[in-house]
Amino acid sequence: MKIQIKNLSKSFGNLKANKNINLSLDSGIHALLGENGAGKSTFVKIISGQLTPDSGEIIINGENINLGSAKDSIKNGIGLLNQDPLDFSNLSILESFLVGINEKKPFRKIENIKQKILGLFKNYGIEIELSSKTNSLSIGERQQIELIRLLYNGAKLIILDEPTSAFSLEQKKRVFETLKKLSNEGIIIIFVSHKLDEIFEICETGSILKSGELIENITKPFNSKKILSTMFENTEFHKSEQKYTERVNKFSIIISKSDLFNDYKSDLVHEYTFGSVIGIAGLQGSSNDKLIKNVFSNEFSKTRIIKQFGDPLKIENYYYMPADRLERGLFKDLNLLEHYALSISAKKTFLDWKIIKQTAIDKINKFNIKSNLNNSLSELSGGNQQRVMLSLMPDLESVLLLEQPTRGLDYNSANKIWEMILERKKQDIAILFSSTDMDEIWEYSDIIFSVSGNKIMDISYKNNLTKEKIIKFVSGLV
Amino acid sequence: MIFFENTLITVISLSTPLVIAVIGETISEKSGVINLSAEGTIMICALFGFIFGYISDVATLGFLFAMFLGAGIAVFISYCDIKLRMDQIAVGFVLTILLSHLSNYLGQDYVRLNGPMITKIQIPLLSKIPFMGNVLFNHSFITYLSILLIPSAWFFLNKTTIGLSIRSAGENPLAASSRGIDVKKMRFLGTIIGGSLLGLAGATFSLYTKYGWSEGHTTNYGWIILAIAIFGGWNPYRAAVGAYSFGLLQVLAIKAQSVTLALSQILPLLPFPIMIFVLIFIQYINTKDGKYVPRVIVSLIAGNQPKALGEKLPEEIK
Repeated sequence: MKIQIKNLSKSFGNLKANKNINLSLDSGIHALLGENGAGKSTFVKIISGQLTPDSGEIIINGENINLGSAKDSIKNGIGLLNQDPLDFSNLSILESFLVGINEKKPFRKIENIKQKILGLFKNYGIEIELSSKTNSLSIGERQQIELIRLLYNGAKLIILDEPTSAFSLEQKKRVFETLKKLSNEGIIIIFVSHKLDEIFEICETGSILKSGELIENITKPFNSKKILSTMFENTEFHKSEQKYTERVNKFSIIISKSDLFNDYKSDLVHEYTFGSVIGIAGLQGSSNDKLIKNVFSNEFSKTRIIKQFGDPLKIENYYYMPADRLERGLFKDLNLLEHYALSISAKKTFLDWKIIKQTAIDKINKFNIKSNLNNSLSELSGGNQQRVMLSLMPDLESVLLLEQPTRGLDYNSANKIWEMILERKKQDIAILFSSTDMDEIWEYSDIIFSVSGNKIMDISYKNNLTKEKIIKFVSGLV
Repeated sequence: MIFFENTLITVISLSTPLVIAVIGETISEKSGVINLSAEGTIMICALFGFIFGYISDVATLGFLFAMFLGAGIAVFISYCDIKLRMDQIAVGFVLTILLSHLSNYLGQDYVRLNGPMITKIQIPLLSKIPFMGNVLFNHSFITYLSILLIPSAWFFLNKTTIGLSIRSAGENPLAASSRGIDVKKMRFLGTIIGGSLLGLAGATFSLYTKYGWSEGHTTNYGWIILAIAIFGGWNPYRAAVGAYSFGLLQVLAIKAQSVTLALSQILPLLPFPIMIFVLIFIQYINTKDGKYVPRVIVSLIAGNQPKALGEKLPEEIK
């Protein structure tokens, strides 16, 4: 199979999401790189027929295909594996396979279809009952099944749109093996990601998108420095090497026994100095996020943070930032100004818009949020949403509880977020964050909690650890 | 035994419109559309079914027209849903209020008139079976239809491609559309089938089980079938069981009139507290403590609510 994409353009209002993109592929695993908002998703959606481009053509094996028709794309062997599995939680796996294939035939031989699916399952090492319901599976399993379904539908070109964000290490390994096998069998794979290590691991070629344009094609061996500088051209690239003064005061964390499913007999007490960054490492699906949440809510847990001197901590001293930005962190239909109004005048009867506006403008400048005060939050990019959440942090001396603070952000946005977080080391009591990215944990933490499944495997200062050790702990190998 | 037999016969024939309506609503909801106008649709279709039957003196015409009218109302709901992307709840409520008042107004001249009757059809041979023959095979055609509808609806939803496509549209419109399914068409189809069955149910009231027309002729039945649809866990068989149980209580109430008046007043009210308890129980199963409930009971009571039920179509689907 050979696919040629010619002069593809698409704009949304004033925004040119794709500008004259040309690409030609006939084999191998091809990476699609670019920072958030570079136009990767638009490009992918056009190829898979979910969006109609303004101009351009897609030619498969010398023939033009109908643009903007998902059906036509599927018929021509294009399959898209979405970021979140696009499946049906109430249907069984077999039914999920049946949706949308050969639907014109009045009678389908279910037994034959079953055998074919089972054959594919066997081939790629999947052991799941066809009659089980989709909502009983993990996200990783659902993605794997989606991948098999694409094959079943006769996909010759498979597009993976940041597929690994929901995978555990083990699942990732298995999916990558499957991908390599597929590639050897002659299937073209387009791999969209901003995790360079993954791309280096499996891709042979790649292209870099920036502000809607395809600016460079790359081939193995990749040069990570060069790729990064192309991706983030014109954006300053500095990592703060600020030294933070050691603070004297101490606080303790009492981890309740009920939060620790291990053999420790009593509740655990740990003492750290003010301003420590505590990274809670764990794989996808482990309860590292839950630990963060537990500190915040009395309802489920008795885990506490206690200052050794001074006033005891009150609820106002905690700032919890959930991982689902739009679902739990922010109000997607309220505008920026209203968010600040909510956080500033929470306890007042009347709103003082003058003060609110002033604060909002200050915060927007300070946190470098690229948006109008009247924009609703759903219109902002992921990085900007995250900065809004950070800008809502109280000015009090606080305990920051950050659930995956850089989830889904590209390298540069994540760096900026971390600069802002580390800024708070000077004033805050403690900064707790959870992450599934071991590099992030290693880079920013002073103290590292390693969580595997429901268990805390290890609590140590970074000095006493190595990255390999953490990976061992979080994988449950002691 | 005769008492028992008679009760069953009455329950089956009296529940006819409920069964038809609840299956219609289930199909509609499986495609993701709550037809909240059920109360109004049933009422106005009851009126116009009766009027058409009365004018033409052919009951079948009344049934047919009511089906068309129900489908027509469903087309309007679909237009609001698919084209205008309006809130299904709002549209349904307004329609219910409008249609039920409209039917009271338009029906003034048709109160207490005699329309065409439909006769019972004894199915040869089968109706000769002792007990069962009388209970199941000695009814009017519309009752046979309602009984046949139950397995056919189940078969349609679970064993045909179109049924699967309709369900997929009600579960996750975006996923269905990315697999090349015309989600708008499927939702339209589900709503139309559901609407026409609601219409048929309306005419069944005025031409059969609650013969004639009066002001507020079918009041509250629409709300009841909406509740039974949830009670039925979006499964035609269970929905039918719900409808028949409701019918049974009503029949018992009528029979109880000769014994004690109090019981005859309590029995028709019984479904409502039961319904509320079942809904609370379903909610309870979904909570933490629910895991102590035996599996069998969970699988009997918990339903498969379509994931996208009542939601507007995503903007991506143009």
